[in-house]
Amino acid sequence: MKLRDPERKRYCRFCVDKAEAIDYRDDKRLIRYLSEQGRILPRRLTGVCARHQRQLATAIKYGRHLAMLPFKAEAMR
Amino acid sequence: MQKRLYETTVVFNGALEDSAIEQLVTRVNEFISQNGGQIGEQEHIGRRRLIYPIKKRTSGYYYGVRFNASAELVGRLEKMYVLEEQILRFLTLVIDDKLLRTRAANQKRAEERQKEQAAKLAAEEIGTDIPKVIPQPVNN
Repeated sequence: MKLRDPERKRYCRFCVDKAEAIDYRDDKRLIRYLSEQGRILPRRLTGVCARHQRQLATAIKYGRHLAMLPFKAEAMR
Repeated sequence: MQKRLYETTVVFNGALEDSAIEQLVTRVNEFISQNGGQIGEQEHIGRRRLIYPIKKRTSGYYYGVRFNASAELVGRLEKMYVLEEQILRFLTLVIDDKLLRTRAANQKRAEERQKEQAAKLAAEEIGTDIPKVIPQPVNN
């Protein structure tokens, strides 16, 4: 998948948008950062910068708690 | 005690009727306002399918509200949440401007994208000046 091609020139989407925070309720955006299994993807695949990756991880975990994002994603297939 | 800005997101049982949900929403809001909190914006996200079942239920009604209150009120509020059977999940966070500004920016971006899409579709329907060439299949 294009988003996960490690050789493409990567940039942090959140940095481009100058995002100061990551919305934990924005499941449409956050779901792109999960694997097919529902795991949080590593930075080397998504191109996220360190700062935003930390924020992203917390946001995803909140989203999982609110049942907007999956913990395990056999349902996603 | 100092007051802070919080945002609480609550997930109610989605199978409830609208009237029951309204009652729950009112309960939450009144608890906050009657116990020294100042209610800010409310967000009725509405019914959604849950990604995983909670207490066997598969749908929930998402409601969020921002308010100013003391930390002590928040503690009592969450205790109330726990006791209410029809509340499946709750999440209360301290909110600062950053998240609000980000949400506003995201919203704006989404709206502009929609406008562009609408403009595109309108242009296609009316038709452009340049006649379109229909690609023919190539036979070798």
